[in-house]
Amino acid sequence: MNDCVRADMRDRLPELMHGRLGAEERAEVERHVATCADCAAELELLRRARRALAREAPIDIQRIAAAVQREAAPPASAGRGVSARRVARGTKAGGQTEVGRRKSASSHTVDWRIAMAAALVIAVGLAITTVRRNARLRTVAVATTSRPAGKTRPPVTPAGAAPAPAQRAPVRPIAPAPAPEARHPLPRPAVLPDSDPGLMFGGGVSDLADGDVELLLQSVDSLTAVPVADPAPVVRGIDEGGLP
Amino acid sequence: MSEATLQADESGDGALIARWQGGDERAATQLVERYASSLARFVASLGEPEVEEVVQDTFVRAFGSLDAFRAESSLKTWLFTIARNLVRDRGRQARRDRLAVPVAEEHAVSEHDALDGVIADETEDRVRDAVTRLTRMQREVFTLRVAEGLSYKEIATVVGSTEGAARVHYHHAMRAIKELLDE
Repeated sequence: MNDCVRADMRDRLPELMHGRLGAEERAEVERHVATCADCAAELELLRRARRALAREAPIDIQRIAAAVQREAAPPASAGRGVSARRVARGTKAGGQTEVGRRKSASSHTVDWRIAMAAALVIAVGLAITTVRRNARLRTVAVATTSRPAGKTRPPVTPAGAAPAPAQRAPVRPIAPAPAPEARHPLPRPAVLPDSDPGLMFGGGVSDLADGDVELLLQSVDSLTAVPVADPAPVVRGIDEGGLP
Repeated sequence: MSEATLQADESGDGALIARWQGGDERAATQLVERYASSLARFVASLGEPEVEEVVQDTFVRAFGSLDAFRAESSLKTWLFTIARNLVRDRGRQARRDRLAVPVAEEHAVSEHDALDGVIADETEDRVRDAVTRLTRMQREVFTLRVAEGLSYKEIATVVGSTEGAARVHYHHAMRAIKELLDE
């Protein structure tokens, strides 16, 4: 069996067989088939193939229709929300379809990943909090060891944050130093401003018990090094005329 | 109105979908009756043994998400696409479970052999046997083109390819069938 050289005609033979051509196009193809033995033979082959394929797979259409009605209620019917969701998940009244089982397994995988992501976020948050807290404690230590007696230093504030009104008094160099507290030599605003924007789960040094503060001060006293970034040594040198 | 919408309206699918969405359950039955046989032929051509189950799952899946159907293709094309995806998913699942027989040419032939008693025309029998010897893609394209009358564009949508590729697969399939019949 040979192929016609008119590929455009051969291409339209299935449409001709299924009646999907317009009147003009159909007449054109039919005229060609009437004069072309190859296309006539191919059209006959297509008809036989269609009949052969049409005999495949006997199914019970009514049973399928009943199942569809049972599993997929129309949107406007009562209880549609539950039914439609059940269908979308691929579930059946007596169990799950293959689709439903695959969906369910996929959901478990997603849930597990979400839980892992949440745990990772929490772990990173805790790490950041710990680092920031240590940095604050280091700042407290520097402020305590580098401040001369009777002198005041500007309060430590977060970068870019305006100091609170209560913190401005110690900035004035001629102002008398506030009376030091017996057990709390650190001015509270200098350590943790009330508007601290940092990421913390609890309060600051002011929330520590007296015993904890004592331990903190002991730790501060034991420090031997001062961070290079701390400007205190320069200030002290000027005040005391200790410049070289 | 788009070409796809026109196609849906011309065949009456659009009206049936609207009736079903309005609460008329009989519209679903009419749509099943309209397309179940075509789907069954197509599913069988893919070598799927559980034809009725796949057809049923196809309709359940389609009606369950009909609200999302935007008529970018015809309902028929959409149903064929769902059915094909279901068959492929089942094939993958079967291979994973090592329980089901993989979809193969021999399997498709055995399915067809079960219907030998029904076949009367020897030529049609030979044509059908030739179809089973095509590659999977050729068989899909040929079945959609010849048995269902889909255009190359519609076939490309169903099999996830291009019109040009669908045309090539069809002509290769036709050439292979002719050669088998000439033997």
